Amino acid sequence: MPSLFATSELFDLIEKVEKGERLDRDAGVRMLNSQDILVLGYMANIVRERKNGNQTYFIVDRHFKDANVDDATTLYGNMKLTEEQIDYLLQLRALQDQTGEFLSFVPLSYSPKDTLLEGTMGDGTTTGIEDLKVLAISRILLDNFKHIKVFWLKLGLKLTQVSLAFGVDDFERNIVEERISHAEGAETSQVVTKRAIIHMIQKAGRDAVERD
Amino acid sequence: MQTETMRVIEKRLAGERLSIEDGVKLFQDANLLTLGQGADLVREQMHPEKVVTFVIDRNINYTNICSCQCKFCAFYCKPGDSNGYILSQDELRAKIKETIHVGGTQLLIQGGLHPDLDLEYFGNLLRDIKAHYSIHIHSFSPPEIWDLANKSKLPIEDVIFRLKNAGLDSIPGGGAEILVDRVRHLISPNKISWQQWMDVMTAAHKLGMKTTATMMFGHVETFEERILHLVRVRDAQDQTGGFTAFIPWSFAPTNTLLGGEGSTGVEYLRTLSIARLMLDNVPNIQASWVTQGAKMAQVALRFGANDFGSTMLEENVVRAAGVQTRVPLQEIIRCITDAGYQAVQRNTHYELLKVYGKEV
Repeated sequence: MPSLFATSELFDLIEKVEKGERLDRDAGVRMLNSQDILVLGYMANIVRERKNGNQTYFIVDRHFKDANVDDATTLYGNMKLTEEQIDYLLQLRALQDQTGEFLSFVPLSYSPKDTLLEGTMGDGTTTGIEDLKVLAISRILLDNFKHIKVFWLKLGLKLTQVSLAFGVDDFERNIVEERISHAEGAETSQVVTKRAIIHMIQKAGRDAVERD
Repeated sequence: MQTETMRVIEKRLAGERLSIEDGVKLFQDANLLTLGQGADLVREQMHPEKVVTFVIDRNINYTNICSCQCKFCAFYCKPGDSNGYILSQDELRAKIKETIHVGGTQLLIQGGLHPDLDLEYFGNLLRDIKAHYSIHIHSFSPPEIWDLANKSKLPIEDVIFRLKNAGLDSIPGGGAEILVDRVRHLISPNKISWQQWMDVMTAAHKLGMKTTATMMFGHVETFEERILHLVRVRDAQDQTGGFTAFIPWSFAPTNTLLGGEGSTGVEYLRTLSIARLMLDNVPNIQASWVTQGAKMAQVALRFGANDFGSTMLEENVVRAAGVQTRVPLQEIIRCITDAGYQAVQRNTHYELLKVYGKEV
């Protein structure tokens, strides 16, 4: 498959990622400035597969778990595509080398007030390609984090499923055991059922694993 | 497994035509990113100019009354239903004025198979629009045109000829669903056959009119049937060259008789990429923000699409099936420029009208 990417401006980075070599700041900035999201996805996928095989994880919301209480092993970043953010990712990687305390990184911001942003790309929201770039670059650079996690509500279910090919292996928030209200139509609702998440993961060719 | 995928993609990149078996193989085996890269390279061969186009238009649904009763449709009312409507001439004119006011160049007028509306009604409607406004009329899908042929007892060629003389400029590719009769019997038993759909398109092409082709996937059809649909469009295109674009979209199950899970985002991008690889003679592939949302439609620009469809000042049919997206002009331009392309407004014939810069 890499021969398909032979004309890409990032072709030389693929070999490094395949060998398990670390990418430096210069490579990070090149990835940031490239429009070639499929190559980024290809490299992110190599790292994801190395870390998690074919498994994709999800967590169902529980009553006793306040949405504002964050898991101490999860690190959040409000990512914008800037060189400063590449520096920030490299600092996280250095910190993780020393302490090893983090399991997951969530590149996109989250607030409990968030509503479904799919199809409503007004000012202040990111585009689909930006989202996939941020996720893929985070996966490629943070080679010492086990998981890259997303909140599906940020991306919409369709793009969330696509993000599985761009380095993501973990979801949480707004996932329920069963739908309580009578509201139909998963795509316009603010919650999704466990069954729909499993369906979505399996349709992407991955094994769905519920975790706590 | 992926070596077989690579063989098929390399065959296409070398300019060879893909067979039905090649296409089915891609659906069965190819992974998402490989397909995307293959389709993106083909798109670049066919459209090296780094431009993504869109049209400013309005969908006007003259009626929601329809006797066809397709199981995947959440929009129609049966004849006699109190929720049924027919737009008045005043309402229609007001909608057209608004469209022209915001720079619109195209009207997509579609409704249902209404038992009381005949060829004379539509002839008058078209003549009235053309007498008052300068706008391209891209309207009436093949099932509506067959309905007029049945009512008037005229051959389909005559009906299209009369509509064209009254002002119809081109025909949208709706009602194609899956161009395989086994599938049509299951999801829309009262609708025209695939051959009848194609007969409208080729007859229009022979009269010098352009049309598009659509595909609605993700319900009861098999991968083989999706490929057969693409090959039937490709074969007709070899004969006439009249299709300007291909537009795939996925079935949305909410509020429909057919119901079910619906299709996923990965399935959409895979189908779009395979369409780009199979349809070597159809120039344009449209991303569908109305059915997929703006984020997905933008991503689709790297999976074979080179056109963002239309701004759709008004859209009622997909909305009825529980998909709510509203993407105004500025957001379409942002999606396109952010993906690294020049955003250009086009007309129905894909002639470039207006170039938009980075700052909007």
